[in-house]
Amino acid sequence: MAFNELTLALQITLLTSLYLFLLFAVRTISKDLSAARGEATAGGVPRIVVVEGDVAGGSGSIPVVGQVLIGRAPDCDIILEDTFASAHHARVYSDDSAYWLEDLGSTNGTAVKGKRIEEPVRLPRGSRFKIGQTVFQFMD
Amino acid sequence: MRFMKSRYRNRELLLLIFALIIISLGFYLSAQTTAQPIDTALKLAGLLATAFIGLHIANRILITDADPLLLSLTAFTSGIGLVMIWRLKPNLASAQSTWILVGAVTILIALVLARNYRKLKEYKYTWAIAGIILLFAPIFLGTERGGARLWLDLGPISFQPAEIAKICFVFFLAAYLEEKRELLSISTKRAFGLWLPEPKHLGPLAVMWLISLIILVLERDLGTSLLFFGLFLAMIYVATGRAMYVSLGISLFIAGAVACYFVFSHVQTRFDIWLDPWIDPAGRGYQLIQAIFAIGSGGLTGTGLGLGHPTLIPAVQTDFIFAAVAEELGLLGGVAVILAYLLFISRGLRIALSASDDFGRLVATGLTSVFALQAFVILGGTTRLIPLTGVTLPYMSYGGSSILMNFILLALLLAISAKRGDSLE
Repeated sequence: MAFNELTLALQITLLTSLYLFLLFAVRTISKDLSAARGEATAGGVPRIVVVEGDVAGGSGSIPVVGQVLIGRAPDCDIILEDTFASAHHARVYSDDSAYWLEDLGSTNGTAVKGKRIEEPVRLPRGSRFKIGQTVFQFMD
Repeated sequence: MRFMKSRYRNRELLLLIFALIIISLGFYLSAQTTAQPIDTALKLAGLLATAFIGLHIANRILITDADPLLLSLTAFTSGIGLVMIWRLKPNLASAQSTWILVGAVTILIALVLARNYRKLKEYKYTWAIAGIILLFAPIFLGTERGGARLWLDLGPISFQPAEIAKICFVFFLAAYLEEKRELLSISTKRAFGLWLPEPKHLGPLAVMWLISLIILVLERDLGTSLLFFGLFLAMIYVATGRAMYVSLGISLFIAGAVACYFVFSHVQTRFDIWLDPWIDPAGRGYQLIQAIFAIGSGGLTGTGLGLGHPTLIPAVQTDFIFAAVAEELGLLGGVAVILAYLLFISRGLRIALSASDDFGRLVATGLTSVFALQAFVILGGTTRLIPLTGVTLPYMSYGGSSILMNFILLALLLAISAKRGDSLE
């Protein structure tokens, strides 16, 4: 059979639907990728990362499970070798809704955005804080 | 019930139904234009739908969390392939649809076995030996077809053992590199500020190079040779992160290929025909010239499915199926097919990235690289981007070995993608 209106219409429909299928497939991929990103933010354990300065024990990234104690004492989760830090200097902990940074009555204080904190402050993800010479960042 | 909830599987079903509708449309148009019986088309479309819907149900039960796109993209490409084969060589279409059905059953078996794919690495050297035997068997026992010695005849069935060897090599290399990756990426050697591997670690590279040269010389198959070496380079690069292995490997391969160009006439012919097919338009250049004419006459939207003359190209249903698609569905149809392959490859690499163990990561990388290389080598060869080497276009070309092996590849990728996240095992 030769070329006619029916085959022309079918050919156009066929080519269009090939691209509709691919478009649909790409949308599925992008949905999947954004869902994966969402899971990483919601389900992952947040971490404290050392941005500036050295920390004993090597690892520069500590997961926040329950609470993380920072200071010079050997029972701390993050042990600082810094004369400006107190033995039990500060802690990061979580309650039901958020993560908090609390200064445990240290001598030289804990600074968020350059200001010494007096009471527990909420830690949004990505925020930085400074203890002695060491700068930490709280992140995913 | 977990399998009622799965978003992934619902999306897979939607995409699959969409693909099957497109394929049915293709069958209908093809039946209209080539005046072939519509009930044969119905039977073929029905077989295809049975195979893929069956696999979809198996996925729901066995691997709920597997990637939703791979199966749909496979249905899309192998469906277009089946429509084209029916249109080009009607008497081969039922064999192809039977192979797709057999492939579906193979996937089922592979899925049940490959759910614990990590066990595969325990048989590291078995895979290596099996791969080498399969790869070199045609040299002694094979029959020559189209200038290459690739086929093994076993009574009524003949197959290309190199297709199976590819997957054996992926398993072996993944297990080997998982063990040795640290060692292979450490070195104290430097030259002109560049990182150099330790000389004693060049052994694997040398062995793979020799294997690819043996394939090239004794089996006269540039395509398979390129695939194996490319697979090795991709995997060693991913495992060690050292680009120097790739640069060294490519230089070695080019050196080997240039040497072969001067020593072997068949390599020379392939290369000269690529540069200028008009030196022998009625003979060695005929196939390539017909393919270029076919692609050219397709234009933007094609001559219409069933209305071109792609059957003038020799071996159009296997190596040159893309030229037939480009003639009858035009640039738009050809690009759609290439995009489908790109999506498949991008999913494969994503599966490798999110795999929960190194072995799975390396197997997924290897399988995806071999798939990508194969598609590139034949699409590039058909469109005269690179010298033509005869390999099949995965899922689309006619041929049982190719369909079966690429379906097993699909099963493995699906099994690895289902494992992501559960790192407790």
